[in-house]
Amino acid sequence: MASTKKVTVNGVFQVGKDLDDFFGSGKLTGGGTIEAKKVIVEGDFSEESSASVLEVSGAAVKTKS
Amino acid sequence: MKTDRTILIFAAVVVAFVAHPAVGDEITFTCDQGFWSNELCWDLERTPTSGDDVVIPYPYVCRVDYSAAECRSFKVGTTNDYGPKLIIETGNTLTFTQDSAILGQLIRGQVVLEGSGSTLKTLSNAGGTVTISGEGEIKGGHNAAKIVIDRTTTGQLTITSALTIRGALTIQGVSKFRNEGQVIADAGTVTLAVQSALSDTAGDRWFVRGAGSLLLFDEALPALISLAGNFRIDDGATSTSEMEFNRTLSTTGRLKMETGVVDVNENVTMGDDAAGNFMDMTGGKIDVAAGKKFEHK
Repeated sequence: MASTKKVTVNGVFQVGKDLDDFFGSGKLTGGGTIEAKKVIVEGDFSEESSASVLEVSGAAVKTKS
Repeated sequence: MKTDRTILIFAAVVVAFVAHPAVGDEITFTCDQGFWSNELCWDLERTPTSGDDVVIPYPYVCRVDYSAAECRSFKVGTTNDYGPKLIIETGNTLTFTQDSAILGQLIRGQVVLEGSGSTLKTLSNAGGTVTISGEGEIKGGHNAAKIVIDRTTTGQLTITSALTIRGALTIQGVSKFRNEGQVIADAGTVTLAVQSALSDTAGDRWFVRGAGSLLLFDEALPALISLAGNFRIDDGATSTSEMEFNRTLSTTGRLKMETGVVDVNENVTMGDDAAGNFMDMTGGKIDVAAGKKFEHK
């Protein structure tokens, strides 16, 4: 994401949910900001259960009202 | 007549003694650097007992050199400006029962848990809350150094707003622990493992600030933890710094992380819209185990 950009999510920014055998992985690099009303990271519930990951490097994830 | 009067006086003395039993003495450490067990290092020329209120003045350094050191209370420092050191050596224990203080604003007074098994322990059969106040710190030097809170299941140890617990150590016991100050993992693992309750107040309360350091919310904690404080992984933290949640936890405080890992092994909820406690993640990783959920308002 470009360092000057800001993405505003008017709801939930979510990594991983009901993924059926797949995990969620979100990686934000290269600057920029994601702003959301709520951030959720949720591990997979399936039999092949796996962790979910939100990773941020040189960027930002924030919540807001 | 004279005999009756003597009996009355004697009875009054007995009643007064029973109503106000002796609680020991204030006893002051007097060696520049010396050992708790050295009678000559105390102004009363004896070692403290469980009823005594111990005072360590600045700039003295007192080393607890045996496993059964005890006192009613301790005061590390005599003014708010400068604090001395009370060092509990490896494998040794100091037990106290009443409110205590670690002073020092310009030079922070320290209770140092020097090595494995170094233990600061509070006991009371009556339970109740005991407080450690002041602007000093308790510094753990080993993951197996301990603060033990065994004041019955309704008892509690509270650290007040200016006090810091840091380094590497384990906070454990059957009682409750309340953090109104700061708990900082900056030199190893700080493990929270009290069995009755963990609580705090709003503000910055829980920190990871050292490379390779871990703040661990252990399985020994109650199954559901409800807090109000903020969590921070920042100044001094690196990609190897970690905060691990092994119990379901919610806080109305916020997460501020610049690097490191938040390891979520049970459900964790943070943030409060109304209070403006928003997430601020500018680096690092939130790793959520299968079937678990991290949520930040």
